[in-house]
Amino acid sequence: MDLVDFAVMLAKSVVVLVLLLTLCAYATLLERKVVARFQTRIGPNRAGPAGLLQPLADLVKLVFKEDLNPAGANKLMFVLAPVMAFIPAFMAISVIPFGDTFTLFGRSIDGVISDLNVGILFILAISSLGVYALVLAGWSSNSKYSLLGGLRSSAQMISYEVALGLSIVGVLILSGTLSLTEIVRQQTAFTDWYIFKQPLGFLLFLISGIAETNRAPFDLPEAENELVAGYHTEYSSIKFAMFYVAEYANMVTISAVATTLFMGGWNGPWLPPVVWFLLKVVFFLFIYIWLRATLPRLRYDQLMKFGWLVLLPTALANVVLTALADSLGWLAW
Amino acid sequence: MDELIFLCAAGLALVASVMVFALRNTVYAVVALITALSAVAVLFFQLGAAFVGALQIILYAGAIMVLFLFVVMLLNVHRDNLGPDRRWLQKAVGILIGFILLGQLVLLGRRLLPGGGTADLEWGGAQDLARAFFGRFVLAFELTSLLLLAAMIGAVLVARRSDGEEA
Repeated sequence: MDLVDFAVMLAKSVVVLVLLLTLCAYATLLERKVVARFQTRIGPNRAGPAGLLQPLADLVKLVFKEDLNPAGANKLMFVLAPVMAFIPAFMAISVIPFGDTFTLFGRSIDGVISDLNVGILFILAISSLGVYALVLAGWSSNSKYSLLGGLRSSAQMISYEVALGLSIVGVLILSGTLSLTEIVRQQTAFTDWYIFKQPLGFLLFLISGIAETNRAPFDLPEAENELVAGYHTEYSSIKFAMFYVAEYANMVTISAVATTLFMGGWNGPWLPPVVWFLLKVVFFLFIYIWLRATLPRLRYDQLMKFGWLVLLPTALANVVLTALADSLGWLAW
Repeated sequence: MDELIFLCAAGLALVASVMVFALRNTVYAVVALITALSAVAVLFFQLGAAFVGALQIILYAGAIMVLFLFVVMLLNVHRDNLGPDRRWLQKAVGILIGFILLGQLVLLGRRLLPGGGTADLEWGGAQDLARAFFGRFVLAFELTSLLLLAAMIGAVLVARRSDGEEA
């Protein structure tokens, strides 16, 4: 790797990181605005024109809050947990392709930070590390609410991770590759989008993705009326902000994976590829918020039963059916 | 650059592995083990065996260690209630197994790397591994899965029995 390659890599990483942070910040504003409309309110509109500077105001407020450490907390783990939530959340995006290979000043540049040939497995691997942050945060806080919230969320994430992994196997059978760039290249035509060949797989991915990110209606770890705020009850100031941003970064990642696997990634007419990619990601973020504003929270035993007795068998059936249909050539149109 | 990454990852793996048994707090030890396993995954990635690296994180660092952490956190075992001290036996067996593993590693290394160079990795991809598992080593692979299934059924049975007594 020569110096120019290194510089290109660095520039891409910085651009993606800044873009992701901005997207996370404005996803919070989008959520507050959209939920407000669902509840016939106006939502934040004081900071800047139409409330557009609200994320900045939130950040400043959070930074200047007092950083509390609960008595009897395990100091090291208490500090480490938000970092362990933050880092994997921002690592997974590095293998998502946001554009095809393009040429700049005579150099061909990939539209992805790292075109790993097992990209989708890398994302599953990194996102499975996020659970430690929740468990350790719950354990180190020395609080019953936190511990129960941490245990709940880890049980939930482990259960739904299996369904999440199985729901994408259908796409992998059809595409015959684990590389995300390849999978997007196969979906150039609108009718080739895997959402049409894998409607059940798409639905399963969406549901288990929402559960995996601990969002409503699966936000049991943060059920206010039972657990106050779950694993981050005792957190304040910048540490709380890190958990909060990590949650939104995970949402963006799941949305980006859904876009890549099922909705043709950067493919689309007229507009530049990156714009199409971002539009599709924002569409999925809107679905997240829409569901949050519409559906009530599940009960904990319902959640576990649904995961193991409905989602998992359906995902397995989808794998078997897809393999059968693929070998008989039914899905090659 | 490559060398720097290798030295960092290998050093981290070694230090974290020592921490696993040197630390007194069991939760810290589990976190150290997660770190060690992840560092080894980095080494796999660097060797070009990205598939093996990803599986290393998903299975070991991601899935198995969560269960370790659960057990350690929930049991909260202290030194006093561990029962009679049988640690000399543990140490003897541990050292014996350690030497056997070391011997195997040396033998394997000498067979794979005759010139003392780096291994030529032709087996790190998903297709190569699948071909090995479902071709040449299919019997061993299926036998292992049978063993795991038996262990799983056993675990469910044990859990059921204690549950029945409580009810």
